Amino acid sequence: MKHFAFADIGEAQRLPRIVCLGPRTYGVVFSLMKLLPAWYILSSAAKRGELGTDTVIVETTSGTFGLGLAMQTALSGHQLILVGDPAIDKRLRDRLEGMGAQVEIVTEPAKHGGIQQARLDRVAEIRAQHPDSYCPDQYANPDNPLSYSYVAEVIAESVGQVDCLVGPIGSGGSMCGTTRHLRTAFGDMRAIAVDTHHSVIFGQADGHRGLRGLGNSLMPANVDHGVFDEVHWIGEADAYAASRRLLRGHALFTGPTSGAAFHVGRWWANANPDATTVIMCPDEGYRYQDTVYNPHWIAERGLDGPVSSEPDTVATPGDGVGAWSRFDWGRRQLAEVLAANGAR
Amino acid sequence: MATCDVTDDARRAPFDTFPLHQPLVGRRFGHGQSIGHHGELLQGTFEDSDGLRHRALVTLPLPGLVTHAYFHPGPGAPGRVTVKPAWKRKAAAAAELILSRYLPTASGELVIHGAGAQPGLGLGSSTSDVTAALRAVADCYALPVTAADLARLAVEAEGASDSVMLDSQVVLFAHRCGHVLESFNRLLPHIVVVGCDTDPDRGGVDTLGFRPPEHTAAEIGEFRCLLGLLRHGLSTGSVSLLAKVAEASARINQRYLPTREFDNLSTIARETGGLGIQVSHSGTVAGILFDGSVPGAVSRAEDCQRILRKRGFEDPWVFHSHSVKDGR
Repeated sequence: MKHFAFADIGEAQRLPRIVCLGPRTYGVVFSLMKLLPAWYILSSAAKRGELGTDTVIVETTSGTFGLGLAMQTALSGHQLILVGDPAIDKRLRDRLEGMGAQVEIVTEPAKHGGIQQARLDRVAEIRAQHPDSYCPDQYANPDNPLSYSYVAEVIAESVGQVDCLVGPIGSGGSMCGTTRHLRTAFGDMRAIAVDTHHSVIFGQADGHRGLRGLGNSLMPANVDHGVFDEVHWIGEADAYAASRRLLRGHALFTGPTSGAAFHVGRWWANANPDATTVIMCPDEGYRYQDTVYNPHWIAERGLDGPVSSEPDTVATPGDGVGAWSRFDWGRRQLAEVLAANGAR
Repeated sequence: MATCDVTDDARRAPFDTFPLHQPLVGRRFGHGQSIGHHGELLQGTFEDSDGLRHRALVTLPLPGLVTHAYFHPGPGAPGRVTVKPAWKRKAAAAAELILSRYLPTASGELVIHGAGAQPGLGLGSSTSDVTAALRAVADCYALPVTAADLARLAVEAEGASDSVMLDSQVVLFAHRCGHVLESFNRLLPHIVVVGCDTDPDRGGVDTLGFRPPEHTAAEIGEFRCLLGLLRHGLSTGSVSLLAKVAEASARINQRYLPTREFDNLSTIARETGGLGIQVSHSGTVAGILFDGSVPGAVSRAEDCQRILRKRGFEDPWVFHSHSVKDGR
């Protein structure tokens, strides 16, 4: 083992650890996965000359990508303005502001396009006030999926042959990027996207999503539907219970998106014991101590019932609501899947 | 593209002129040899730890293809080296280069007993000649030349070079500036290779006339992943993974120097139990890889050789990634 001093905490935490979670089953364990695309997007923009030392960085997120950006800008000294959601938790906001980020909350929906559009409008306003500004745009920036070549390298070096990659999907960056890079060598590798009910990514109607950190109510340009073999929709109760199982059984303290991926990944690995399964675990559990890891909070919401042990295989994405469901996506584009279902 | 400067790099110490109190005429003659190679297991653009990009490769050695060089010091214009056969000008230039660094007033004659590989196939014929020539001069005068010095001199003499001067060490070699980007500290597992010339009518590729590829950011990401897999394949001795790396590398580079019959070869590999294919990224040879540790590998390879012949490939050959006398 080589030991050396990292240049900064961003470099130290950028890459995941590969942890065995069962026979031929590995977790790709990040402290904060979004640190990697945040770093890569900003450093690539700087190399291209789109980001100078005085450029103001503006992005519409107060989630983990915002945290990744705030860590990078705290280290680089750039001004960062994050346009966020009123649902932002106080601890995260304090941490972002502690690193010098300005957090703006938009509460009023736009006339057309709702709250998401209102936030985009606000970003445009801020950028108009700062002629030298840069928007990382994680949902459409191709450097987001490209950054995951570093993750593919770590996985390939640690595990070798990979037969199945399972992970949560939100922006499309991690799953599409890691899959594409691993498939350079393993063309047959299965890619399983873990989404949540009422997310539009794989063709469900937009609606309230209890489980946060994955799924989306808008379609990110970085989602390349054609890489996925299989899609699962999973709800709060199963994801939270799986997160607690990761803690109890593996001492792994993660956010609920890791739990969701573990729930599906373990099921697939059990059904395919001869295959090597790799599960993406994007972040740590600290933000969820008062919720996912609080038995009272879980009980109050009736999320302590029995967990699903098997998914329902559904014939159309629209049927995959309510319970844990799976759908054979077959590396198709969204339009193909919707057309096939329309013809049914 | 940020990359290292060949000449500056090569002109640094330790190439100070050899101390003059050494005898100008050394032994009666000096001998050097070099193995050839069979193209690459991996070739692409890689970033070093500072984020600088380098074109680099991992050589597939061809230990049975040995070139010998003999250097006879003798009278002549200072610094001049004649060569037999006379067309091996690169070897003579390499000998003159090493003399200019260590013994600028010496001169002599170089005799190359080549392994007979045709230049341009990607078998490293000129790198072998150059490496053997450098070693012959170094041997003659007992020059304190390290493998790293040889690598830089070979690149300076040739413009680009594979890493045959490092013998059986597996390294990621920046072939246009002559330094090792990463040393894997592992030997190759036993690979049985069925090789062929995919385009015998072409008569090889002009290695230096061929413009080096400008890989895209997406391709650099793919090479990064393949490098990780190569490390795993070397540390576990998995020919299967190394073959996947080689075929993926070859596939990415098809955009820049297509290998005739690439898809055909890939299909034949699958049909005959081969684990993947490898190509010369600057020539026309290619190979189908078999795991030498699996019983029956050689007879499978010979079956594959027969099938290649039947499908119109001229004179395919079989070789091992290390010579039997290595005792491995």
